[in-house]
Amino acid sequence: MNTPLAVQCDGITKQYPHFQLQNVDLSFEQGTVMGLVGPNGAGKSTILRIIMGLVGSESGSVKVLGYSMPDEQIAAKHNIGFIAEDMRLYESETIAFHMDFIKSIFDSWDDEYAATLLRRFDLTKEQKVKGLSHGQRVKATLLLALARRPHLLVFDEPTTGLDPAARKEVLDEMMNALEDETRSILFSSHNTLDVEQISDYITFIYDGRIIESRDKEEFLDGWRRLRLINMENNRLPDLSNIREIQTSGKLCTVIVNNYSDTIRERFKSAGLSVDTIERLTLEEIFLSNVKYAKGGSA
Amino acid sequence: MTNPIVYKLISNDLKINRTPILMWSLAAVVGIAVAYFIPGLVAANIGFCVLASAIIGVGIHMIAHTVLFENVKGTHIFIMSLPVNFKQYTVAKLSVNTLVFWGMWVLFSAACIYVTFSRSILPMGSLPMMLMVLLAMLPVYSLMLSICVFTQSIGYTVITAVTLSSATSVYLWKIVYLDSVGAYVWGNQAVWNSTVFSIMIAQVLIAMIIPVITVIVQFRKKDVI
Repeated sequence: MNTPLAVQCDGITKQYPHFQLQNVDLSFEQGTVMGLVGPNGAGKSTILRIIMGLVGSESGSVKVLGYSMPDEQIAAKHNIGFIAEDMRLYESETIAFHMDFIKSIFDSWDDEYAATLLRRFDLTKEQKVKGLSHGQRVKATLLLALARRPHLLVFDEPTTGLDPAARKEVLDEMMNALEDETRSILFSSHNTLDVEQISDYITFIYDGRIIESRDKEEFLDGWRRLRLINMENNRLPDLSNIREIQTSGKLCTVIVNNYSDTIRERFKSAGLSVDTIERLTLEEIFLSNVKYAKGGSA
Repeated sequence: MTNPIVYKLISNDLKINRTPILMWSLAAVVGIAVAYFIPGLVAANIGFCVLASAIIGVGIHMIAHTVLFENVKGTHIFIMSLPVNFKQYTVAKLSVNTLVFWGMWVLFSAACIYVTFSRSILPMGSLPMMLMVLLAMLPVYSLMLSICVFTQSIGYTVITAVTLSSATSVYLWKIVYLDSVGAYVWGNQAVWNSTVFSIMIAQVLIAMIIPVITVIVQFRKKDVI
């Protein structure tokens, strides 16, 4: 039996004066973590806002936890915890005020878990929001989202601007939230380390387009850097997998996607000797993808 | 407006703004006290000015803090992440502002009328004119609130407030120079003719229709933030 989908976007488009979201397809199963990676202005926030029903798409369809968005957003949002980088709490009020407010709306609010999170995040209920540091504010917002025990967490750049310690705390708590196997996370970041750390699936976005969306392990397995020696200045084989080529004298570095052993054989048959084959970090994969999408390909 | 979430949003805004509402209410009470307890036209005028400032103050405060600043600071994203749609959000914002402003307006109007006529500061003939002036505040506020909710822009709201302030003065001058109104202002008896009724009904209707139109227009918006 198929696992139900947490999010299913089919062909969504959105036009702004200087930006266009083009035919975005995105889906992932419940109980998994999807990381959206892209440079600033790529369209990550727009996608998340369309998924939350805060921004309307011009075409395509969006289903979140089986609810059609934005028409069924009230039912859907009962099961979603959303945090955005530009979201703010009421500065003049305390954390307790916000907790009481959220508790009055969500029957699923877990007092015990909220108290645990307060302790874990070193927060006190009586603190006013205006007196909190950026990290504390993010943690307070995270607490409000987590303690209602949602089935889906949607986080737009949750770790931006946090120091390493606060970032680790936030990521750890995101991971803890996944102890319940039905819970899912969709989050955006331009920090590939965060994405690599907790995601099951990764989607790269650039200029309003999804340029690649795969299982994390497939992603990391699929990309390789080959260091080649080209003593006789042979022509490189014409492979569609090649994403980047750098040549320095007899040395040639090639980055390929969808790597398999046959690729190595193709280079060998073209008269090149393969010195080393290395895996790429997610950041390197991301940068290579962006460069290729920009038209800076081999 | 039977949805509990709308009540929760209204109650939330009232709680957040409880101190300023209380402070403006105290100013209003001071204005009433001055007009009522200190004899003479000067004291009555000062009292009414304080009272009018309190009602305008609370109105502007509520619009600024529940709509404009919420948009500027990003708290509306927090609210819209909750199980709320844009129609409910709009209804809640219009309701809480209208509730506070109309509440203060009733207090202000009752105090003005009572003090003015119980102390014979003005003749009874001015009662219809006074009611028309008081009622004129309602459509003005409704329009300003709706523009603010619709545009969520400080600039447009300020322009609307300034324009309406000038337009209201012109409008009231026009009314007082209508024969069927102006001719009876200094008389000893209030004259309730069809012109007076038509103007008053039109003012109330406009004040009520503007928020309804705003909700309809807002519901057609695709982008909330």
